[in-house]
Amino acid sequence: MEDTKNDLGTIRIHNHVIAALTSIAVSEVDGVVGIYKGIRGSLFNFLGKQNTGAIKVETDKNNEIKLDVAITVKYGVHIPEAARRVQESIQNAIEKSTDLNIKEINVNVHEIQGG
Amino acid sequence: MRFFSTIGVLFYTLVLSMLGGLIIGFTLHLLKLDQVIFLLTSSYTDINLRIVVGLTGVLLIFISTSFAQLILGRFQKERTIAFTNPSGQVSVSLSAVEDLVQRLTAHLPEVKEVRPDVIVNKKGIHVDLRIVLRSEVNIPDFTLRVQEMIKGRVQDILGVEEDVNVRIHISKIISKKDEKKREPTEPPSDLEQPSIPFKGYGRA
Repeated sequence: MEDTKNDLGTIRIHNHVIAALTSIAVSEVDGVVGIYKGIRGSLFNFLGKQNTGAIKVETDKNNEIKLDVAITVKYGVHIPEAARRVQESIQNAIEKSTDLNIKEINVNVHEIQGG
Repeated sequence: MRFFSTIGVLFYTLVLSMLGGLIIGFTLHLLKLDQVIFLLTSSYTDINLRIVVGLTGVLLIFISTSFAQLILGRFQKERTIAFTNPSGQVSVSLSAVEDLVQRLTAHLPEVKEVRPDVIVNKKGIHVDLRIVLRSEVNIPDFTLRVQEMIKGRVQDILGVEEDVNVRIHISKIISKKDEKKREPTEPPSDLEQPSIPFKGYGRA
């Protein structure tokens, strides 16, 4: 949970919100299928719930965010390039929507689909 | 880390050996039944012994979970290919690389089945392929072509310059006859299909 104080009070942004923003940002990147689902994700989908297990959000003392994201890429894409685009897309989306600083975005390519 | 692993392995060897010895002693009647019953009764009734036995149980569970975490953590750590860029770390799981190799080779006309296994160590990336081939293939030419293709594509797609060592094991060669036998046979079209009784008399 990230806290930002202003004159009127405190604004708290839950980690689930950051995970949801991350998920959307990842799905918009070319060459990337989306967040890695796995068995757990498929089960969540079946139950009609959102799976944020593949996205880990950590906040340090300086209110900086560290993200670990597991993704699935399309067959044939250059993985380092796709991962870099994912990192940029997540950074843009979170900074645009929350004004929070991002320290690290670790991308874990778990699966290759299509082809 | 290696020190703790060694201690863990020694500990489990010792505990399991003791357990095995006790079981053997019990079955060979080296341990008298009276002694066993006395031991069990005293550890069940004596408060001091109960505490000692209980604490031993807790300690065993603690050591087991720590040891399991140590081993599993190490396996998880080794199951990725990782590199860093200014925004953070990018790691590619080996199952994804196996997917990639599978897709690269499965569409080749000479290949009937393929099962890849990818290992990474200090020497580089090792791809082990078990292939079921269709007959009438020049194996040296084919394997060389596959090795070069996988090496090039894996280095290109992962963006790594590490050496990719591709080992191919042809596990089976299937002849065309075998393949035809396995395919489901369709009934010949010139044979008359049996007529369905009351066909065309659907419900209104």
